Amino acid sequence: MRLRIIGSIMAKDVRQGLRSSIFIFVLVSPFIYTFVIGMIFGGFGQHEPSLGIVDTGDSELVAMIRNSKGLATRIYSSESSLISGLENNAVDAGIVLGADFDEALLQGRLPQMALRFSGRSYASNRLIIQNTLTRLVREMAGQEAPVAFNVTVLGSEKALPMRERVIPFIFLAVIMVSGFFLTSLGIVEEREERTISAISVTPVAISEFIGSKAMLGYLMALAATMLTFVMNGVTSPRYLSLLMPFLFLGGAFAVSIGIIFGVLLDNSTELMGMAKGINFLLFAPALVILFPGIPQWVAKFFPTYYIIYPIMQISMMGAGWAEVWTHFVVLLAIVAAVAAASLYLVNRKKHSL
Amino acid sequence: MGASIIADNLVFAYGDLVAVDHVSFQVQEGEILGFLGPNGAGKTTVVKLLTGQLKPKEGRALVLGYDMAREPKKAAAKIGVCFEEKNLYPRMTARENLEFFAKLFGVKIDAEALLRRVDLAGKGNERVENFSKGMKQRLMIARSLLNRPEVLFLDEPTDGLDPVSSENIRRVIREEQERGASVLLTTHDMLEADKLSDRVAFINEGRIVALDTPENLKLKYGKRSVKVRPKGRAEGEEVEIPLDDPGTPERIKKILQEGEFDTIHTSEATLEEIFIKLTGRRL
Amino acid sequence: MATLIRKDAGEIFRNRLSLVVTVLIVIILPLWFSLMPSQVEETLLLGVYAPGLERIFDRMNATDEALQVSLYNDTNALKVDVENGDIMAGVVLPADFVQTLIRGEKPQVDLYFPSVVPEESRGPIKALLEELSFIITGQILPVLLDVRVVGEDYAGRQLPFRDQAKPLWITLVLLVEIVAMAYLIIEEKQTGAIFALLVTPATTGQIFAAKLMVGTALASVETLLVITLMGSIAKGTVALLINVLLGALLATGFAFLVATPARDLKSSFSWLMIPYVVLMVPPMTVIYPQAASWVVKLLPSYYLADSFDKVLNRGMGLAGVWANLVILAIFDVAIVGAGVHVLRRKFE
Repeated sequence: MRLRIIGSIMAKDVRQGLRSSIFIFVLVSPFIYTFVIGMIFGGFGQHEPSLGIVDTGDSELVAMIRNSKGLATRIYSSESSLISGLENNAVDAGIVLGADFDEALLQGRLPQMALRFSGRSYASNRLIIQNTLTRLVREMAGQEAPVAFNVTVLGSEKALPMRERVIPFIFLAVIMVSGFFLTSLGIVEEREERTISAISVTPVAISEFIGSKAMLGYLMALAATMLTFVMNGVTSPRYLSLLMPFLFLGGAFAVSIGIIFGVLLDNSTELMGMAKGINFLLFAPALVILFPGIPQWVAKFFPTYYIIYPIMQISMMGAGWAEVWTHFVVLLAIVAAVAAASLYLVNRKKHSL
Repeated sequence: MGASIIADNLVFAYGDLVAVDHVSFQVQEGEILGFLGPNGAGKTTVVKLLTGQLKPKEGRALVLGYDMAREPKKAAAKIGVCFEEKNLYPRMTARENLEFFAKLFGVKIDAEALLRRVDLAGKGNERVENFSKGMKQRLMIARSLLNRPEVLFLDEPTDGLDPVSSENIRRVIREEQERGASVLLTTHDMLEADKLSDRVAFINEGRIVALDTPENLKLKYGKRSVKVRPKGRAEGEEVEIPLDDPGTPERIKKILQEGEFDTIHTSEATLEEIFIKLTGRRL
Repeated sequence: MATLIRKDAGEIFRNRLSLVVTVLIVIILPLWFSLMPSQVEETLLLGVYAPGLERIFDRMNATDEALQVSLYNDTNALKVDVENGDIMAGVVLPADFVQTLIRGEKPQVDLYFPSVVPEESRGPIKALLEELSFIITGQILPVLLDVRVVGEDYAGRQLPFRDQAKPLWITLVLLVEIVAMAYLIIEEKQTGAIFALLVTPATTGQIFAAKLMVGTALASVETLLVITLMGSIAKGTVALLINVLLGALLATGFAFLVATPARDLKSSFSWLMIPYVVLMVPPMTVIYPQAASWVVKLLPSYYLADSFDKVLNRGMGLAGVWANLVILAIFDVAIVGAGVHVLRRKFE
């Protein structure tokens, strides 16, 4: 395999690709997936309780509420806008503080505090909001809690907010878009435009041709994934060194699948249709992980599980090699099988490509 | 001079359809062989066998001494192929297309000079997707020449070209021949085959039915005759008098003496007429 | 017209891409819907070890639906349940809890959280327990709290996320048809088949009307199929049908608009993504109204998704959504009109 030839074909693909909207999409996919999926899924699942506040007297209570953890706040300019927000469930609850609230509270005059709940707020959130408010009001009034708490955390499994659970999904999407889609499209387009025939009568071997497509897809997958890691805050050298083997294998898996589809399908229309179908199979484990309500063992039947689960364990849960080496072995076997299948197919079909 | 191309008893089938049926011929160094036949006769399949794109079921395809079924890449650097279908990179410019393939061949080229040769001067920076059919065809020919090939395979090289461009391409082909290249030219254009080829092979239903110089074919299979258009008759209403008839000289003498004719001329068989005669089919 | 309609309908099912897109959506979305949790856990689960004080916590269980207190006789069992995540927090009161309070001192209470409860959530739970301690010790709240619920109260019967997201899923199905229909038109352009049609006795109006009918019918049938498979077809049928039809028209109109500038299927990719992504934003804000701004109300898909939400999730009928339907219909006229106009200009 001559690197000069592979490099020439890759350079041609990049030059041509930069004039194609699909290639551009692949290039910017880390940003798109991070932003869009993060935005979409960031609020999935049970979000933290939210409180709308109308404060007509510049109350100190507002600052206390904003400083307390576990409660999102939103300031409304008027009671009517607060009511509208409650009706739309933009906030779980709302309070209206009168102009002299602080003075009345400190003087022990029992000021009124209107607390309104959205009909669609969860009962547990209502409980939390109400009790957080009363606790803060008592604190402001100088009442001291009659008990002291010794807090202990039991167990080692980390709580993952949805925003973080979705990150492996983003990684997988980036690897697949860059590795699988770019590789397969590169091959299919050349077959569609019959330029593969033109290349077949040059000194370029079919292995060099396929190799160039695979190499470009692989390098793009690695680069895009590293960029995604950085964009999502996974920058610790320890994590990165543990993640790299899974990235390398994940990229190889994506590219091998890409070669298989590129060789089997006749045109880009078929590829796009198939991509939509296969995407579900590839992303199913990510979706299972996203929603813990689904039995998690279901994910283990999908090969991409062995890419994203270790990534999640390492980057989100701080797992070490001991916790993920079995997944590495399984993934290695999967990649070896898929790569062998792709090589077999290329060899079988080289005359009809 | 040795044979640059040797097709030795080639057989190829697409499923049950035998596309190439025991085809044998040779093309000598510096020779242009025209492959003439209708659509579906097997011309392109023969070219694919000789360029290593397909493997024959039987027989051998040798180009410059290399068996194209076993070691196609050894000959690849020395051959040039102009395909029937347009297979250029549409989003690349003409220059980029040429330079890319030059890199694959490992040769340095003067893209502008190549483009000038095929009447595409000044079009180097235009994207191929904006080219007309004729421009694409000329670029295809330019691409087939960039490695200064010893053997050229030209599949319908003047397809889609106007008469002026076609003549220009024919000139380019002759120049290549003068340079010493062997050319296998497939076409269903009888006129082109007649003008360009040193020898012509007729192929029909996967078989070669005749192979000789155009002149010999005409002499062998053509009808020698004199055509006379009597006075007052319209064009096409001519009387044909076979030259080989014993009474012909007297008849012609009488016509000439009487002077009752508008035109009189000898007539040669065309390659198309010969093809129809041999195969019963039109080109 | 009938011939054209038959041709277009046949083409959709012969075009593998359109077919795959259509079939997959109909299968995968309801399947996905069925796998998602169908219940909402609204209750805070607490475990308490409080020997001698069980009556206080029993009363809490009786009065507060949002709080469920499990009483434990054994601190180890409580800790195991905390560690397993079966309860959100575990409280262990010391044996001399009451006596310490009487002495005017602060008893030390052990509070256990499972590691899966995020740190941000621990504060509010601790605040809840502190408030309980105030109540137990009889300290009155220094404000007069006036608590009311705005709008219909869904406590105890909250919609699980999968149902809240129905407007999103269903709008997705409709908008995906933009892709399927656009691909069909682009393919006809690419192969030149549309030019062959234009030189027949069929007028351009008839050609595009046929596409409009087929696209709308297909999108409608597909969407109704998905809604049926999600188990929601019985709700507000008339309003639902009208909304689906208007949504299908919208999708087909957009398909015409995006198909016109695209040269081929590959270059259509970027043209298709733009309206698709933009139109998907309003349905998301129906689920996350806190993210909504006035801008989303400028997009037709807002009224589409909002109508689905009102009909499927809040049980409203035609009376509750007629205003949305009127606005959507106006958008439809504009988009379909624009789509047909640009297509005709391209080919006439």
